[in-house]
Amino acid sequence: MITLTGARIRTMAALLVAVIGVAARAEDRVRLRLGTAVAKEAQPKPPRTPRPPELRGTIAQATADAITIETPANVIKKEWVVPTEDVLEVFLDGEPEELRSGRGMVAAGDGAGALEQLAPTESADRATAWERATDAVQAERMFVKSAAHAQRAIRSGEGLEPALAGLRAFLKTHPRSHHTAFVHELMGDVFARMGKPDDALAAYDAIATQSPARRIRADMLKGRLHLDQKRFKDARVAFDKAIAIESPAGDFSAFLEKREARLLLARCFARDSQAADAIALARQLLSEADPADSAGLATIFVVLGEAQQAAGDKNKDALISYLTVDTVHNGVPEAHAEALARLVKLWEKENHPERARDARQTLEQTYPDSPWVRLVRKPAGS
Amino acid sequence: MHTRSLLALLLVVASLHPALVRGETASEMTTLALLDRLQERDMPDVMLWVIEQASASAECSADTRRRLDFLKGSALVSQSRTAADTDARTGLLDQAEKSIDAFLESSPADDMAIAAFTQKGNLLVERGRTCLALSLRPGADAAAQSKDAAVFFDRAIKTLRTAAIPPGKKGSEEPPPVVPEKIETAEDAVLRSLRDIATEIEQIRLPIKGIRDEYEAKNAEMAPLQREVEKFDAEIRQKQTEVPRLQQQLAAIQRAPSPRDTPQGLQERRALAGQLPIRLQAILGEIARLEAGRQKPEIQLKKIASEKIKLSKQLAAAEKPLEKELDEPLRRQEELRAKLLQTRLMVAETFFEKSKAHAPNSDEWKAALEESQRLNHELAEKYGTLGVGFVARLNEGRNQALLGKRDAAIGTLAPLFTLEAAPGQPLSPLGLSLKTKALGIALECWEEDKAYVEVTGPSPFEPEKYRTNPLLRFAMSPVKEGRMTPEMATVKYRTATLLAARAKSHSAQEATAAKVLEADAYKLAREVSSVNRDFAREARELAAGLGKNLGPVDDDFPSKLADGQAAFRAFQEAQAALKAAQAAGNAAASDEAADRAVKTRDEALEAMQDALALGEQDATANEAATNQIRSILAFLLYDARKFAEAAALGSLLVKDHPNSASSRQAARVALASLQSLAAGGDAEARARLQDLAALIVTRWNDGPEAADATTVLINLAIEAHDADALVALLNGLNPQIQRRPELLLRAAAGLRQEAESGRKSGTDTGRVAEWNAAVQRAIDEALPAVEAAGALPAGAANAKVVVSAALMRAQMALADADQPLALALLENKVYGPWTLVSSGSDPTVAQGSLATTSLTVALNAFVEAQKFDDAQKAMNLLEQMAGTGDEASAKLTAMYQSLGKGLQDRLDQVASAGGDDATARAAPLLAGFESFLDGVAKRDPKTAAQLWVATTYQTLGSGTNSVVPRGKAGQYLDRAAMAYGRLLDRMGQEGLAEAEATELRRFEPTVRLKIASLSRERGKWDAAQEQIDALLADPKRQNWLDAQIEAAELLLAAGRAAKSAGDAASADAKLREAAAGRTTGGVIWGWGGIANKVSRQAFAGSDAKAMQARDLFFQARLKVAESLLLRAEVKTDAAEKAKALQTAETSIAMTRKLYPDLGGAVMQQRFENLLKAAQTALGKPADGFAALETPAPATPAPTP
Repeated sequence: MITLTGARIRTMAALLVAVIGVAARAEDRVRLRLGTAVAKEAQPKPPRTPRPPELRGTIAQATADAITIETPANVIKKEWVVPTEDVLEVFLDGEPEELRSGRGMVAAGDGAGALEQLAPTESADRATAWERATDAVQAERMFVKSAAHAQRAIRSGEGLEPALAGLRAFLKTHPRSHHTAFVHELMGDVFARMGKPDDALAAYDAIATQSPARRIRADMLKGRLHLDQKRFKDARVAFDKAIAIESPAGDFSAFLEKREARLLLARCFARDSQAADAIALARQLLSEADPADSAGLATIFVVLGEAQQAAGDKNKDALISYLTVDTVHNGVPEAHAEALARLVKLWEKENHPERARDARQTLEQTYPDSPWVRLVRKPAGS
Repeated sequence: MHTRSLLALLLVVASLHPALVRGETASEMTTLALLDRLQERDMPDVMLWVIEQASASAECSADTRRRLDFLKGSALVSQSRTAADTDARTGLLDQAEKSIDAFLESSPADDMAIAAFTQKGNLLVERGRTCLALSLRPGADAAAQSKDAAVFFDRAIKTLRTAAIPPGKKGSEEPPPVVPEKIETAEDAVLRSLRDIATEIEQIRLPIKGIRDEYEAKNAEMAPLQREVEKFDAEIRQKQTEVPRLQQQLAAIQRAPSPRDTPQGLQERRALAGQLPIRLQAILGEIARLEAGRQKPEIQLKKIASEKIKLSKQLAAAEKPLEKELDEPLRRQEELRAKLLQTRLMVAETFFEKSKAHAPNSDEWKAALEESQRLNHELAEKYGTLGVGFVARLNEGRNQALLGKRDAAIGTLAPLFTLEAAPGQPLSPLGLSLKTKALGIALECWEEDKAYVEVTGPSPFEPEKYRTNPLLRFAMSPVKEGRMTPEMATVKYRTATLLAARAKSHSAQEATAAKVLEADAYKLAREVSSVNRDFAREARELAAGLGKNLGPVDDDFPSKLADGQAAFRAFQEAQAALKAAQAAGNAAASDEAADRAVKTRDEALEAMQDALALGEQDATANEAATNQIRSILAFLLYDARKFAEAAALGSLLVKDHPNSASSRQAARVALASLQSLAAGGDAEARARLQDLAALIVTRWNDGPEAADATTVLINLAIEAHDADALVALLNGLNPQIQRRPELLLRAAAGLRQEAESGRKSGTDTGRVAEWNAAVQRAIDEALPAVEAAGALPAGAANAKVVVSAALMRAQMALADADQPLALALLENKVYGPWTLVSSGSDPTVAQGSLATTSLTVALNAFVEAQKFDDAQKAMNLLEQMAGTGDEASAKLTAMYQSLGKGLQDRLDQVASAGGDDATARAAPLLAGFESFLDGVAKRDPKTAAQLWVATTYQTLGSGTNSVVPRGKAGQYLDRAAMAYGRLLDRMGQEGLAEAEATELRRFEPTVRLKIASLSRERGKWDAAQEQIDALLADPKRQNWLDAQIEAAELLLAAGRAAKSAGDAASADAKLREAAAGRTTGGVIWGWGGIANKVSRQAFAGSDAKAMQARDLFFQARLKVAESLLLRAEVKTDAAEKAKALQTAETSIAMTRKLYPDLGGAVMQQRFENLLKAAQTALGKPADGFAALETPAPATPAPTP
């Protein structure tokens, strides 16, 4: 359990500002996931352009399941207990800017980028500052580093064992961190990359707590693993199980997890020669989608594109879906990169080598490290 | 204007964005946003897919569907810009107009209505421009195209301009109070939106109405005063333009008189010297009076303005609380006002465009320009301080200049070309552009009027004043940033020509001044030339005129592209001239035009190659332009017969740039080039041709190039006898491909040939049936399409393809006993072979072998259907077709044989269809022919008719067809012989027409031979011999090979018959003559003689004739042996018999020794059978040829 006193926080912040030049305000912030019950409570009148609301104050307690923040200046409540699945990000008072950027990159899946961000803070002249940082900030540093290493290892396939050791060390040192579920998920991903599906399944199992969102996610991840292994039947069972988990009507996080499970189920259909079912499911998700949720729409359209492509005679429909991701909902790097890569292939099929060339160029320039680049790279000399 | 209107269009579409993206569901919103992005990315084809997909969705709301109609129109307009040719472009614009009209039918009254009407107006202007561009093409009907253009411009005006007369208050920026209730034009739509927004604003401002009314009243009070001041200003400007000219004239008459001045000239000068100062003074006085007059309203204006300022402050204070609420409506109001003015400016400019559709100085031309001028004038007067007003003033001045009102033009343009930047600040881009354009027009006017004073100052020349002239300084300032614009090049070049003209007008005394002017003119010319854009060539010429050479300049891609395009246009014009000369039949002019075409082509080729080299080096070069060069180059290379290079360029475009506008044309050039190479025997080119054709069909499966490529693939498959490839082509043919019926028929014709040859060569009947089914499907689909078109396709070859296919299908129908279908096909009004040949309406199909085949098939069909009148008509036509020349009889015989063969094929088909009732099914067919032939034989004694009757009966009787009973066959042969006999009888008749008598004489030998042959077949030896004797009695006919063969056949057959009848002596005599011939009376060579006669030719080569002779040789040798063997069999004396048998054996052995091949396997077998018979008769083992082998000598044992 992390218990911080206001005086200690202020002292540490002052030290950090003085020593490593951070410009953080003397308060913690918990950024809430839009659409969740807690976000609605914190922001009863949302602005015209919705932005995730923040709770500002002092984090009194953080566990693997919830964060308690004291908010003396808040007019609605003075203390909030936020389930970790409803949290988008936690900003700690006094943490350096590089750490925040690195954490953002980890959240976006870019471990290599996160390590680059952290690199300047690893110099000897910053060592003292780190030593003086709060336990919470040090825990964040450890989290970002271990998660980033793991993500880099997963992408490259190298250094998987040390990455695993790093994640284990984090869990051992900070067993009650609000990042626990995320770290377990990463461990599962590392195991999967190592070819140890049973260990991966066990790691994913560890995510399942009482929270419906967590339980749904655990099953969804298991299904995803089966899907990657082309064990479609098992994958479908896992996704069906995830979708069947009951959750309260207002549990938005659970809704999002279920949506992801349904999307993966649609992918499962597409890859298991059930393109019509895949299209129907993706279209249903589209009809339920919030017009303002561009990120959600990006993932739906990518899946819809894959389903249409799988149908064999709907290449033009697939092109439209991927173009939608490329031109309208292009804020999710993973979805955008996938859409671009698939556009390359489809444009070639549809006799538009110039457009294929443009899509390839955009993919290579925008996401040079994406695994999708390798799939569409032209052989040298062609 | 082109660029400007496009920009205007884009602005309108861009402004629609927020309005567009307001669907209700995520799917609809996304679709509309996607369409917006696709428009930005210039992907109209994908927009059309999206629109199609979205429209088909059940979830699409009515409102979104309505918007999709408009967006479809926009997409089609965009797509039209990259259309391969004018027809395609026009088609797309037509579709676009329909889509926009569909949207407008929903009576929209929002922003989309404004955009839609504007889009439609732009579209119609584009159509008009296209017509004008077409009118300039070599060989175009310029008058018709210009007329069409004028119609389009009128429609555009009608779409843009409101029909209601705007009674708006002059000088007011408010919308007119009367707004048309029904929105029918872009202006209506804007006015309606303006009225709505004004109402909304009024509602918001209701609490401050009092103070606002007061403020507006001040505005209204100021308006007439402002107009009064403006009127004074305009008059002052007008007067001021006259001053410099008068000053210049005054200076000219004040110079010292020259000795060359005439007395009259001097008198006029004196008179002017008296008048001009007075006129000048009067004008200056007038200007002063006007300036004084202006003061009064100006003072009043200032007073009201100061009151207005106070009110304005009060108003602002009162409006402050409403600011937030008013913000958006006011912004919107401003936007709509700008849109209204843009629309009106567009109307004015459309009138200007319309003037181009009429001959310069014609009434219509003047009317259009004057209307454009009037509208621009109104805008310039009303909105003189706005950007629109400035642009309208420029347009007005341009129109005045074009109408020859140069003074007025200068007056209108003066405020623009005298625009100056505020101190320390550069002129705004719009200001600079307007100034430059206005000055360019003004300079042209001054040059025309020789009014040099505005730029060069009055005479005598004062260098200091000259140098400080602001217009000259503007023209002389070097371009600092970016590339010189065309407008600036115009200003510099026109200034240079003006300076040069002024210098030239100077007398010898003013040589120094002339030098200064010429130096500046040269400087400007060099600057314009170095940019190598507009007026570069003229600038070089001007410099040359000044006695200076500017030398070469560095080329860049755009200039080289322009050079190449100009050279290509010259080539096109030369080609058009060549065509015209050829059409006029002028050989000398044609030769000259052909030389010119070659010269201009080579020049274009060189220019385009230079441009391409630069384009490929320059990474910033426009890819579309580079591809256009490649495409043109491919065409030029093809014309120059450099097929390999043309093919390489065209193929590159197909492979790497298929969506470039020029690539489709290049694809066709590449195809034609590879075809030329392949026709020359280039195997690699042939392979490349196949690959390219396949790629083209993959790339575009609907255009003319796909049709060309498919034709190539069909031809290649036909040449390769690849029936499966033809089936695949037929099955895979795109339903939308151009010329689909023709392609189907071509492939079907090829496949039918393969099916027929497969049937004859014993290919699997299942496969043959499958091929025939594919043929049938293709023809049955294609012919109705041809019929629906109402005429045969253009071009003789295409027409023949259709008629041949119809004929083929009729034959198939006859084979299937579907007589009604066969007749329907033959008699079809559009493509029916019988209809076309019997009416002679289409000369391309009414002659030649296609016509003959059509008539023979029709004849068979008519006879079968017992339509004897039509059959008779067909027969008569066949006779006509054979003509009357020397070869007529041979032709006719060939036709009759073909007819007989057709009949035989029909009987074969009946027989091959199998079944117990084959004979019964053939009976009506035979009965039909019998009735018809007997009828013809009776009623038509003419040679041709009787010959046909005889030939057909002979064919029916000689056939080995199982469906003709043996007895019936004999009867047919008898009837044939009777028909021939009737011809011989007719020959003996007196009083025959000379022509017929001659014809009969010509046929006599053939007829006798036929009778001999028929009599032989029927065992009527004497009758046959009678004809042979009659034939060979004439020594000239003794060398006729056919007669000799028939004679030998007759002797052999008669000998065999005598032997069977037990008449040994007769048999022996006939068989002896059959083998060895006879030398008395009519000489008969016998089989031995025939073999000797043909032996030389038989082994002289391996051509068809030699092979035919070789066949005959071995047949003859075989029949010699057979005759000998038969003779041996009738001998009763054993020794004689043995001798005769040995002779037969020796004959075969000798033949084999000399010609071991014996004419092939079949003949070898027959020889060996005879040999075995002889061996058996001789009491030897029947070892056949084995007995003739000589044992090999034993190998000697090796010596130790």
